[in-house]
Amino acid sequence: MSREEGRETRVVGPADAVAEERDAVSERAATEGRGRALSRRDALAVVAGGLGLAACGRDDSAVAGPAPIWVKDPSPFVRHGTNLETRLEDLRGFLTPNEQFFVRNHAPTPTLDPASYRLEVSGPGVRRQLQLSLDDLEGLPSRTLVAYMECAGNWRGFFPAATGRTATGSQWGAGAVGCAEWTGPRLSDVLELAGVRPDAVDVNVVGLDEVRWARPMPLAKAMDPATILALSMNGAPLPPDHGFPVRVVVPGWVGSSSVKWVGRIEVVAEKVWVRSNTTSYVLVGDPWPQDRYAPADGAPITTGVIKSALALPRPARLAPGRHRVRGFAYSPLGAVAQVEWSADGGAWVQARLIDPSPALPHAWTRFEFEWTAAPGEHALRTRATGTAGDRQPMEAVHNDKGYLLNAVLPHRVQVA
Amino acid sequence: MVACALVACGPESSRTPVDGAEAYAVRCGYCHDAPGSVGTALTPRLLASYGTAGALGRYLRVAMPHEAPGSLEAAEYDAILTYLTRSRGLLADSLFDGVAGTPPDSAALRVSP
Repeated sequence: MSREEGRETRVVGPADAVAEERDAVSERAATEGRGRALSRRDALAVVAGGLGLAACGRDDSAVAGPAPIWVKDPSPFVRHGTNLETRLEDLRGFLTPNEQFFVRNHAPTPTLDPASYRLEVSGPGVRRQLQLSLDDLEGLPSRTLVAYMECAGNWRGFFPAATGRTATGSQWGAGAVGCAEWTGPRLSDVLELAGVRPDAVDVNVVGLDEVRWARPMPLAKAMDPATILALSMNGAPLPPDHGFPVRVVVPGWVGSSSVKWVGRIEVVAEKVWVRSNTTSYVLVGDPWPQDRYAPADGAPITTGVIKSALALPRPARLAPGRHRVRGFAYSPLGAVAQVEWSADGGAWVQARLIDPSPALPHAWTRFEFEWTAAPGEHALRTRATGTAGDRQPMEAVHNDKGYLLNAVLPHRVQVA
Repeated sequence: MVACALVACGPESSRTPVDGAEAYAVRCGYCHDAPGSVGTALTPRLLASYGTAGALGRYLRVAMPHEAPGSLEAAEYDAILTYLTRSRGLLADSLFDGVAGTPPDSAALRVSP
């Protein structure tokens, strides 16, 4: 097996040509020393762990797992490959605690040294290239916002029930979503420090994980006052799994755009095409003809969709009697206006919104309703409507990669 | 698991080369290639997005197979990495000439024109 030797921790990528990064999907110029990979010791641990499993035939449940994918304790979560799904039924409050916040990683969580960390702002769309330390970023005016964040593939595991077809990718339930308080400078303030040139078109935010996860956004979205470079989450420094030391938070857009471990921000004078808007996070299927979206394989996803979900396991098991049923509702377009619920196909009834807050347009709201459960099998449904007029549809449209499912679906409840 | 234990622990069988195409079919293809299953299609572009052979190899070891990450033998991971990078044309053939092992970690993955 080949080994890396002498790979050093390095938090700032070399000055890759922007043009090279532009077509990173086909021409990914991966060079040595670009950011911290697993150390040699980590790699050995991975291999040794794998061998241990195979050689000794241990009970799988007794093996903690050889993979250092996350820093946080994965035990409260449902695991999907490199990803951790929150159990919504475990959440009690309005904000999702960092320890319970879902993790969607495209590569193992990198370990970055805050002392040597530098954020590079570069590209032909800025007047001067910047190298900002963490102190520099902390010295900028700070903004705090409460925003939910959701993986575009949340609910993917419900596609067979919704459309009769399986979609490829992690089979998430409803827990690839959370809501946190994020604090840090506005991305626009950082871009203005570098001086945005009039011909700037796209702002590509590049992470320091091993795959250099990146998601470009139009200049207007980057300059939106709600788009921030978060340095803290729920009052604590960003946890490693959530992007320490810096992640961009792009409210309203799907979670993959809120790039973690940000190392470089490139401002360029044309559209940027990378994996996250060509082969991944695109709507693929009959309604999205590929020739219309080239060089992407389908329609690149930006904004999420309005949803509501019950904070109950699937299927839920309840004792007969009166229950207070809770859930979460959110819209990428603004605050949620109402949530309705229905039992067993009956009439829609208004649920009570617990946190209705027009002042927090990027947050989710909890809702609750009283339900008298009779013994037997039941189906509860909820439907959210946003203040922007968006509403969950009754019918789902299939897409091969399983994104943005938000149709009203039955939540099975067994009462006994 | 008994078979695995023999393969992994036996001093002779540990040198038995693993056929990458076969290992891929058994360990990965049932999910990534079967119609109606959940594995994402492993297109050259998707694989190349990992940057280097080393990064892709590490991802395979920590994340795959999806339902039991890290559960394959090291030789299987190596063989699957070699198979994937060769069959998708992601590395120059010269990297493999006369070399039985995996490509160098630093080898950049590129989609063939």
